[in-house]
Amino acid sequence: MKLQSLRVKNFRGITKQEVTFDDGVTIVSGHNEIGKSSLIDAFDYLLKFKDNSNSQIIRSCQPVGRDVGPEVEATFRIGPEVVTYRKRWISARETVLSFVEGPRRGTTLKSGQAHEAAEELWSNLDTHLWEASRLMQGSALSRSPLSASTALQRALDEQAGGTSEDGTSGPLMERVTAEANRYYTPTRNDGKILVDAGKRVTVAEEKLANAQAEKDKLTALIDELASLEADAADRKANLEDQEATLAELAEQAEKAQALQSAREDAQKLVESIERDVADASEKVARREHLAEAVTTAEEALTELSGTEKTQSEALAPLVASLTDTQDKIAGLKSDLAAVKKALESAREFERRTAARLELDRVTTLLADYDTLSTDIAELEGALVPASSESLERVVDLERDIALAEAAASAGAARIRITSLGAPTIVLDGEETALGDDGLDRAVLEELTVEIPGMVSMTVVPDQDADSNSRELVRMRAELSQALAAEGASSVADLKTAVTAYEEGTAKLSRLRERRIDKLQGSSAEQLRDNLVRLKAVLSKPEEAVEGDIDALTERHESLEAEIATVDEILSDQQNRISSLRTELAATTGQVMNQRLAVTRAQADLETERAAATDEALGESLKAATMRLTEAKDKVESLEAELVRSGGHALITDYELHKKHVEGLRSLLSEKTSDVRVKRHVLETLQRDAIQLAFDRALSEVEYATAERDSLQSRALAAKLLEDVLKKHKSETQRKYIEPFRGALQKLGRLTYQNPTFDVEIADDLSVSGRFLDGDLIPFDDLSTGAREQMSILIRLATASLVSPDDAVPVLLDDTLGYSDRLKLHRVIDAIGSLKTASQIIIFTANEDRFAGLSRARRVSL
Amino acid sequence: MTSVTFIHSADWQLGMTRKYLSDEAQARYTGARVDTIRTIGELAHSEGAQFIVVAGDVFEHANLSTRDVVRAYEAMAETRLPIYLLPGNHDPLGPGSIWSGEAHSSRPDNVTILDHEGPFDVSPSVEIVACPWYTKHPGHDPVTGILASLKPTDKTRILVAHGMLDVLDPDKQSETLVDTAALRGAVRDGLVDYVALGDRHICWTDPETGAINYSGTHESTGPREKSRGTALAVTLDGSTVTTTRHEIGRWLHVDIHRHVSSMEDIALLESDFASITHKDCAIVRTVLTGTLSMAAAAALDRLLEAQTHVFASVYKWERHTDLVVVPDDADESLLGLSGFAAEAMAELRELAQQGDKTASDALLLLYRLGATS
Repeated sequence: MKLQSLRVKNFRGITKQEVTFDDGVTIVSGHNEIGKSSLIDAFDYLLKFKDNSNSQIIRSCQPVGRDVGPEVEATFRIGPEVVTYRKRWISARETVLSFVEGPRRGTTLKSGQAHEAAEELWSNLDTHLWEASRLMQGSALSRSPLSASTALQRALDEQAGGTSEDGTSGPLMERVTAEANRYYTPTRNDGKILVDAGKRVTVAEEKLANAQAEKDKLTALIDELASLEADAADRKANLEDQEATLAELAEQAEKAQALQSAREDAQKLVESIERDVADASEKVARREHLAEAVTTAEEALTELSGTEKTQSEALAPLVASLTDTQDKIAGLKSDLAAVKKALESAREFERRTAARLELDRVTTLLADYDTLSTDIAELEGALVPASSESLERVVDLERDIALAEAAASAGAARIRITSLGAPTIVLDGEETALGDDGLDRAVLEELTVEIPGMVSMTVVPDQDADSNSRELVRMRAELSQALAAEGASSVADLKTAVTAYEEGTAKLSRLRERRIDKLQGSSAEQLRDNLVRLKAVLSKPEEAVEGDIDALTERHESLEAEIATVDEILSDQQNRISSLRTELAATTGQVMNQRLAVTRAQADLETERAAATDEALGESLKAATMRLTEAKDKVESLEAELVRSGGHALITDYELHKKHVEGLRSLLSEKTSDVRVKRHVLETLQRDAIQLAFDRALSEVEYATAERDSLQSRALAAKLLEDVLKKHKSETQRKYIEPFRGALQKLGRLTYQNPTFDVEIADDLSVSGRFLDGDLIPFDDLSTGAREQMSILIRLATASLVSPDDAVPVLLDDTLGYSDRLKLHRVIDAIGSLKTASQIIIFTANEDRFAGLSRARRVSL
Repeated sequence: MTSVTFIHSADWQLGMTRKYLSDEAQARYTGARVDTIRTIGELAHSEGAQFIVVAGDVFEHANLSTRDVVRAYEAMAETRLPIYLLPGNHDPLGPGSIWSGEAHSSRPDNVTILDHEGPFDVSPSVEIVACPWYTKHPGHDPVTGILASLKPTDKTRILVAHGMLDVLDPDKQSETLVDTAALRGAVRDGLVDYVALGDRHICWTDPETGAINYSGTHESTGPREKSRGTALAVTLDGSTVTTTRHEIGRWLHVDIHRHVSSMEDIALLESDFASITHKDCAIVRTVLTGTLSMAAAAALDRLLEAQTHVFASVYKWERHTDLVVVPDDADESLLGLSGFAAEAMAELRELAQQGDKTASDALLLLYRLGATS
């Protein structure tokens, strides 16, 4: 597509503007705000919005305050056609498409028809390329503006030899990826559908293992039961064999048993006769024993009687000696009592004598004590308390009054009354006899002098004297109160009273000390108690005779010692007599018992002999002994016969075998019981359920495994398909990236004048980085100027590759503002040297920047 | 000796399950194995048979539910003929045996279990000599041991046994192989008039005596059985043995082997499926080999998918399946791939041709996804 001309009227700030473009490079210059960018927008809106559009975008294009419709007209070549396309919006709407050249030359379409025809024309254009080929002021400097351009890819495909992606590969890839996504995670690990299928297999296998285990247990139980039953059958057969053998042995043992019975009977007879012999022997022995017992008893009686006599004879002298000793003790005790009494009387006498002396002493002390107590009481009663402190106080007051009076008198008026006789006057209401001296005193206070019946005069002191007088009155009153409180009429009285009180108090103290000394450390109560006790002692009725206490005491002790000695002798004698008497009593008892024993033995012997004589017993023993000999002979004969016939072994074998058979029966019984138990266990099992569970588990494993395998096959197929597609896509992309990289490299080396310039291009044709002197700088890390230069070069490289049919104008709006002068010139040189079918339209406010483009068409707005 | 006719059947294996059957098909399969007992009864009446012998493996295992056992007995009762059941290796006597279970208390009067070795009188002139199994692993020839105990008799004597004749089993090491020569000798000597065998699931007649036979199972149990279930109608008349094979089963196991390399082959495979009758009771195992275009492979998938709705079961015998998908010109034209997609397809084709199964699957996926573009 090539833009030939663009006419804009009433569009934003543009009233009317028309630009004609060159097929090569056109530089449209004009100062800022003149509407360069609006020209590009106007062309875009011409293609995009119908004339009846009510879009805000269109409405905003209407010039402010003017009722005119924005209008755009463009003439451009697209494919084989050259058309003029005009549109007016809002007011006097109009759409006209005129075919100027090409197959439909001369055709003019209007309104919707024109719009549709224009859209159809435009649909043949690679709109991605159209959008990407412009670099507008302020737009982002993107690293990958061209990845969606089919025109570029077609061009690269052609350059790479026809290997690029076609229209079907892309959607196919998407479907394959979607299919793979069904089975795998984005990182291509097993997805939920595969994991779940695997889990189902695991679960089914676990169930099968459990079911198999249950079934195996069942089988094991049946096998065990079979084994038990086989054992039981074997044991039963063995038992039957052994029972047959036992029957044979029983027959032989029966005969031996008969012989043994006869022997046992004979043996029993021997044992019976042996008991008879023993019985007869016992009777004979008993008779002999009885006779011996009589003899022994009689001898013992004789011996005991002798002993009794000896003991009686030894006792008599001891009894006589005991009496003497008892008499001696009685005499001694009588003497002792008399001495004891005399001693007690003498001691009582001595105690009373001492008590009497003490009584006298205590009585004297108490009398003195009482006298002193009386004195003290009297003194205490006469003692009038007088305080020395009060005395000091009144003396002080008296002194203060005297001082005050002296002071008052000194400054006060005086009254002097001279006696003219001995009249009686009344001073302040009190009759006063006026002596010879009359009256001379200071007037300290108001004073009334009355001569009764004649005159009454009042002398009034001055003001100051009155005040002193009141203080004097107060002190006097205080003095009077203090004296009254002590019961004194004057200070001298009080002094006397204080002196008397202090002397009385000292005397009282001395009396009290004397009284304490009189008590000699005891209290009066103790002395009085002692006095009572002593009187009681003296009033006792006991006899009290004066005697030699020491001599009496000595005598008393002597007698006690002698009595103790004789008491020991007496005790010894009494013990001996008691002992002898006990022995004698025992001996006497024994004699009596022995006499009874002799009598009993004699009676027993006589009774036995009455029943059977001694001779008869002897005969009976002899006969029994003979019978025993005969019976023993018979036993020996039968035993010899038993041994000779082997009967013992037969019987033993039979018994042992019988026991063996019983054991076998017991074992068989146990085994049969085991079989019964196992059978019961087997019967109680839900065998069909176990089998059913197993069958089902087997089916589940089969199904789950098949499902999992099927899913895995499909998943693997999807993954393989995806992998192979991706691999080839990647290889293809690498092939068609190369021409693009070559074109960009060429422009870059020209611009940077550096043969090391290269670019790194991703599969989506985005420029991810730039190499310069071997250093790779990611696109996003480049400076703004470098990114702007790279963005221009990317568009120029693209324009150099696309076919003329696919070519679209490269629009550069106010670019290269960030480039230094050197780079600016080189980029402009690259633009000028570019051999391309693409139109290049540069909008700029600085025409000077592009002065190097000598062949460019220049349009000033 | 009077003539006697009876039905020889075996290996009913009632309660058998097959892992390749869905629940629905399994239920029908289980039901059919019981229902075919009635068919045997009808056959017996139509053939004038006096009784039916089942030569072992009546039940699949000892753990059947009471319901399964009782339903089987009910079907047996409906035959109104004496039926003699021999315990085999699947249902031996002994501890835990299915024959001692509670369900057998409902055994109908016309059913006799041959539960011990030796003769069972069928009639005054006919006796059955039974060789039941007491254990799954007897460790010896389970049939011929009894011959030494047999005395010549005027009765018609039928030996009912279960085991593998040594002439039919390549596993000569097996301890339980049956001595064919001994049986043939017994037949030739007139000690036994007929040997009704079970265990081998084939309908087979001894080419030397004509009297030592397998009846085959009444309903097919696996792909190795090439027909529907069979039973033998046997008539013994003096020394003459007449056996007639009857196909009585409904279920069929079929293997379809086909080399498929074109749409024409797919069509032939379709006709293979179409030729099978009673599809709802047919279990088809496919053994497919060949190289298919993507379109043909897709068509094959569609065909097989469609058959799964018709047949009781259709499944691949994976071990023997060898299909390679290789795109042809038509595929490429249909897909119209170019660019890297076309290159990817070329690589996958090469991998598939080398036998890479995943590459074949990937091509089919490419076909499916690409064809929708």
